[in-house]
Amino acid sequence: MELRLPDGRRAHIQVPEGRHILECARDAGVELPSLCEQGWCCTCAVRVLSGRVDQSASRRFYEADRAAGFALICTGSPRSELVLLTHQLEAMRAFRIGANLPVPRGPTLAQP
Amino acid sequence: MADKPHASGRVKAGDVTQRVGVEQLEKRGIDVDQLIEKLVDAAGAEFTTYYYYTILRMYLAGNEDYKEICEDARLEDRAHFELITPRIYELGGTIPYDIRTFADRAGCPDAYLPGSENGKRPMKNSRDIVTHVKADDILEVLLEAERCAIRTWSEICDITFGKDLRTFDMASRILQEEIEHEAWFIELLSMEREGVARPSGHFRRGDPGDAPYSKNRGFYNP
Repeated sequence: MELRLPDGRRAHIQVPEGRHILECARDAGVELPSLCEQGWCCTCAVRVLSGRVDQSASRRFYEADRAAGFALICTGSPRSELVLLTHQLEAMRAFRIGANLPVPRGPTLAQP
Repeated sequence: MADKPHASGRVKAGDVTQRVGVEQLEKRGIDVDQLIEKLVDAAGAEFTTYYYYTILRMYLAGNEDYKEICEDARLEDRAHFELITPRIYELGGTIPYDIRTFADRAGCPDAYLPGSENGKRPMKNSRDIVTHVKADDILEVLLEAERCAIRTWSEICDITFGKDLRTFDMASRILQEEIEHEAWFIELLSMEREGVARPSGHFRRGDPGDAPYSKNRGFYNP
């Protein structure tokens, strides 16, 4: 699968069955933002440019999030070949607020 | 009004609509609006954790040592809420008027009782309790809650370090206790699940929920 970072870098990583995208990205040397690491806070949010992510391990992920093209990689596993745009907390938060869905409101240092 | 009014500045003498305590933070590069949002998220997480730990400790029946340690963590998380909430108001903010909004925006997940179906388990009545809850599963919930808190307060320390000494001092005190809590639950879970000793390095609190850092009491240092 491919990770596209805001600075233009692209990273190609392998995510074996049963593992989550964030941990495999870190194993591959790609440092990405996260906080709760339980699929709740949206700090690790990405945009799914293509493919499908299994979010069944996430604590709080809505079908509306998926429909809007977001995923939480701390607890997300690939269900197909994937291309993801990372660092999407602000976009996902704006979506949640607009959709009247719960989301923490504070900043994170990990954003570019 | 004083005979000799305060010297002129951005905040005028007697102006109660401005806070020099906020002005000085902005001057040092703090985005106070963003800081307030972060503190509300963190306070929400402490508050919800206090609530859920109230349940979790009840289900550590038969593990009285675990129960006591969970109780310390529970009361100290409440102390963290109590410590940081006044700071939100000092900065000109407020916590949400609706507790459901507060819980929903918490920066860390609800620490649900294992077996409660993430809190959604249907209950016939209030005596319809979950049974057969394993201590190690509860300890894992406690451990991961503490880890989220450590990441949260570390970020707040980073945001405020060298700029907002008051919030930094509070966040640092809270962080120190969260780090102790993580060490406790690593110690207990490691032995419970793996039979492996991974000492926390700590002994019991003086009193339940002593909060030696966040309540500004002397801590054990013989």
